[in-house]
Amino acid sequence: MLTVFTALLVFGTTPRIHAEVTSLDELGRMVVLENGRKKPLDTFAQNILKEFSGQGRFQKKPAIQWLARVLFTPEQSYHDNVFLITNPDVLDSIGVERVGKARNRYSFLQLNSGIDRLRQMAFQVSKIDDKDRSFVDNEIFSLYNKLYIYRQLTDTFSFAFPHPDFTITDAQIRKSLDLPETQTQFSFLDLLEKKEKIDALIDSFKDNKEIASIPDRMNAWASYHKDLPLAVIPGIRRENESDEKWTGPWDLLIDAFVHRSTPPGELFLLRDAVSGYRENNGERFDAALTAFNRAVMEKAGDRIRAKAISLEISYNRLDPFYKGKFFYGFSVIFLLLSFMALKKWFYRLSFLLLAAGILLHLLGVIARMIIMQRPPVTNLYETFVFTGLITALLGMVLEWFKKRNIGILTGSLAGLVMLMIAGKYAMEGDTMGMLVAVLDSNFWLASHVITIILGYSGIVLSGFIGHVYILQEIFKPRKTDLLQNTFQAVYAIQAFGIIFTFLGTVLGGIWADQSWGRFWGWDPKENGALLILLWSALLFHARLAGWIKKNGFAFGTVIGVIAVSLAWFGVNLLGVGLHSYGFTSGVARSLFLFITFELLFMIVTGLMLTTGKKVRGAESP
Amino acid sequence: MTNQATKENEREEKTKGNPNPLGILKAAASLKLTVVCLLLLTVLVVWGTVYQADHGLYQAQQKFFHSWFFLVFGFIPFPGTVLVMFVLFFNLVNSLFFRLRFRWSNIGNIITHMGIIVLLVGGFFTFYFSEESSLMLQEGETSNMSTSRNLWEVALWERKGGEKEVYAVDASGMDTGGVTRLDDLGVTISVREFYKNCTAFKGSASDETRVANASGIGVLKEIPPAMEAAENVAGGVFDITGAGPGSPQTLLLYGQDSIPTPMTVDNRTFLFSLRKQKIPLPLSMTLLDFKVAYYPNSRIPKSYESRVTIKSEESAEREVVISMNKPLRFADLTFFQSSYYLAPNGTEYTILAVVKNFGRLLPYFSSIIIFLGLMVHFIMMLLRRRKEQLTQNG
Repeated sequence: MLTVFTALLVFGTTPRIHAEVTSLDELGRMVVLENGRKKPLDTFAQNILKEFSGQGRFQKKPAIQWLARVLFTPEQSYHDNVFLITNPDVLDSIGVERVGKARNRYSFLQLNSGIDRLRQMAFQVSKIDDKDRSFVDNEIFSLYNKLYIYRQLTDTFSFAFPHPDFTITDAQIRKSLDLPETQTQFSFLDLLEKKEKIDALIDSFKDNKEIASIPDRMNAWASYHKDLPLAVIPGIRRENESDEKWTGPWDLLIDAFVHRSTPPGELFLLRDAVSGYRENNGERFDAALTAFNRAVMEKAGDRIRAKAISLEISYNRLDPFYKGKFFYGFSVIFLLLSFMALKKWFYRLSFLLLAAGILLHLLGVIARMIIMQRPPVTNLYETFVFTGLITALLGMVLEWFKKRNIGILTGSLAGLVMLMIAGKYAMEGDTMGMLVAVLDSNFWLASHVITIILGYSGIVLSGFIGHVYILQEIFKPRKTDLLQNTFQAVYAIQAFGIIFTFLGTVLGGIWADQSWGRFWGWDPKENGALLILLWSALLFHARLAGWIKKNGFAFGTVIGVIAVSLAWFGVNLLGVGLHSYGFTSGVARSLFLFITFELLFMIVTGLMLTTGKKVRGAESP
Repeated sequence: MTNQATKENEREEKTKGNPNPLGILKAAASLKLTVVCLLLLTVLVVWGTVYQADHGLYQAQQKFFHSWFFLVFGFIPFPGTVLVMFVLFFNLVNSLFFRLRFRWSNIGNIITHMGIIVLLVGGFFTFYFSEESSLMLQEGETSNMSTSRNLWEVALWERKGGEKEVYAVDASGMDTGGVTRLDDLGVTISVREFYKNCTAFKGSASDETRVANASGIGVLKEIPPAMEAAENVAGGVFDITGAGPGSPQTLLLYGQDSIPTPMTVDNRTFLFSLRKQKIPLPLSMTLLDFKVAYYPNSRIPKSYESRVTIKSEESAEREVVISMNKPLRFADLTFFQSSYYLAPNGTEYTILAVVKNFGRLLPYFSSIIIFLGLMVHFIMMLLRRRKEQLTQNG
């Protein structure tokens, strides 16, 4: 690992080239196999950029443009400020000067001076147990890993870059090797292609140091560039699919170099693409990549679902969950505006925006289902996306029947909040991961996970409306009709929530019985669901027993939202232990803030209600 | 709903006022008791979950979920989940008899609560009668015994060639002073010390008499129970006496002894071993092949599966594939792909969980009943609401 790093650093000395190829569509369509999934390079680019910078775009341009620079003209990407550092202590500890805001993005060049110290510190951190790492420890470790991946990416196509190591100044030698006469520096692949001839020439040009040193240099390059990323070339088809193996370009080259065989044709196409990009020749670039993609498709056959790849690219372009946030957000804004002026028109606009947001949201969910051939929810990220969809949908249905603003308000807000949380989780990498063996059951994923999310959505939405009910009790205590209406919504949606939470929990138990042999095991995740069920059942029974009134029920639904948040996030935090920091500490902090906020809300509104009643009581004889 | 709430209240007030032989039962049907039970369960669930972070799942289960009560700060008793569940069960049954009104409008409610009773009964059966053990097989190995996860036994057999007849003494309740007489063998085992979890040391304690142990262990030291019960290693020191005269011999057994300890009693040589309890199975199983598949270019496991043949007295030999989410059901047993072990020498072992659960189907029935009940209730509630609104508006 360390040797690769130093080798990579030697490389950063080639002259700067200014290249810009206009269309990167073919590049985006290139299929890469990563973590068991075949995805378009477009997705890979977005994910890696999100991991580095916390954003899916760089300088408002698609991630693939940045990745193309990294891959084909690394020197140009050295100045791109993509490495997000949230804690400036990290910079101090590696001796890099702070720039601008505390939370800021830095370029590779800026960080480069601290790379040796960073490596030493990351090595020390790696020896600390995960649980005992501090926030700074974690960030140092992840920054080192990001830079490491970055350097690997800059070297993925270096086999096609002309390099001073492979200089042939003697025109006669170039001629006898059939190399272009105008060029003096060549790439690894250029010379590998002529390896036999070079070996034959060495004897006749014994005094020429350049040519004599070439085999050694090639050897050095071959040993430095093992295990580089981007498995873009499918291996030979085997009967058993799990034996499928894809290879990165360098590994194939090294293989050819070691076995003195001809490198596969795909590598020459990639070299053409690299040259096309570096020479700013869009046609050459496109033609080479089109041929490359076609060759890969032929080799892989039905192991690549071409339609899924195209759909995924369209999905990335549409970016439905990002845009959906704006629809939901503006829906809320126009609803609020409708209270002030142009009531009817703003209300309609607000409703339409909610509907459009839901449509976009739904399209995104369906696209993901087709791409992955899975039910809508397979990981934590998707739980938020799907809950957002269901709450927004429930809100719209409620609005359709009641037309009291409350459906739009809570539906849009819930959709917005859920998509925002999902966006945070998207920063962790690919949101379409493969499922580990125990979860690999479309039937149970579809039945258990979806029902439980319907349930959680109900409890969350009921709690949202519960907030509204409490506020209405304070500010509009005399509008009994309005209050009655809102309360009915709180009550009915809570009932919807408990039914589906129950069904989902039981289905989860049955799944557990099918795969582990026990229906219930008091595991934190199970307890989380049970907690929600018990609390909701408690509310209904306490209301029936007359221990709580409408207000009490509404406050109870707010606590229900806290219970859902605990079951959702808190349970994951427990597993890591109480002394964990890093990303989960961000979650812990948000969770803590959320709960504090809700408690404050309940205390303040509770006080207002009790004092308000006294006032009202005094008014009416 | 509000109306119903007040009606229920009225009814409860009435029952309170009536001095009646069924008074206690009716009090046990109280809705307030239900609320208290639900509140206690909520507290137990939260507490027991947080407790797991530091003490592990097993200890949390023992303290909060599988207990009648436990002590807070060592002296304040707090009801455990088992107690609350029993109270809730009687509360439910009584409320079905005395409190819930049998009317068509209430049918969803009644169905739901009957379903919950079935669910609680299912939980009762599982809790008291289910047995869980595990079966570890090497490729090519055959076995007709499974091994308990956390219960121990002292096994002894005579040193003879060929088949051996093994006697086993349950060690799950062993404590200092306990005596077991094996009349068939003329051997008596008295417990001097027994530890549920301990570590072992070579050599001998200075003032103790020498103890026999084939692995060379001389001293056991008790340690706190492990996070998971299966990780505990039991150990004990026993006095072994024969039927004839002679002073007792002292034997030390440790759960991780590498070899059984021989001991001669009345001129017969027995081998002693402390091991996890062996449970006979109604079939014998041979592992043909174990396979882990990964997604290409990754270490994300795609599937685990064991190809086995099973043979029993009643049925012909047949081949079965047990994989994640696809267990084997045989008689009243279910075999699940639970884990695997790859030995350093490359040998693959599969680990199957073997579960016997009488109440296994009850949760299935109950959940269907409850869900139907809830749906009926919910839909009727919505319809009633709609009707109310229509009459209000009209």
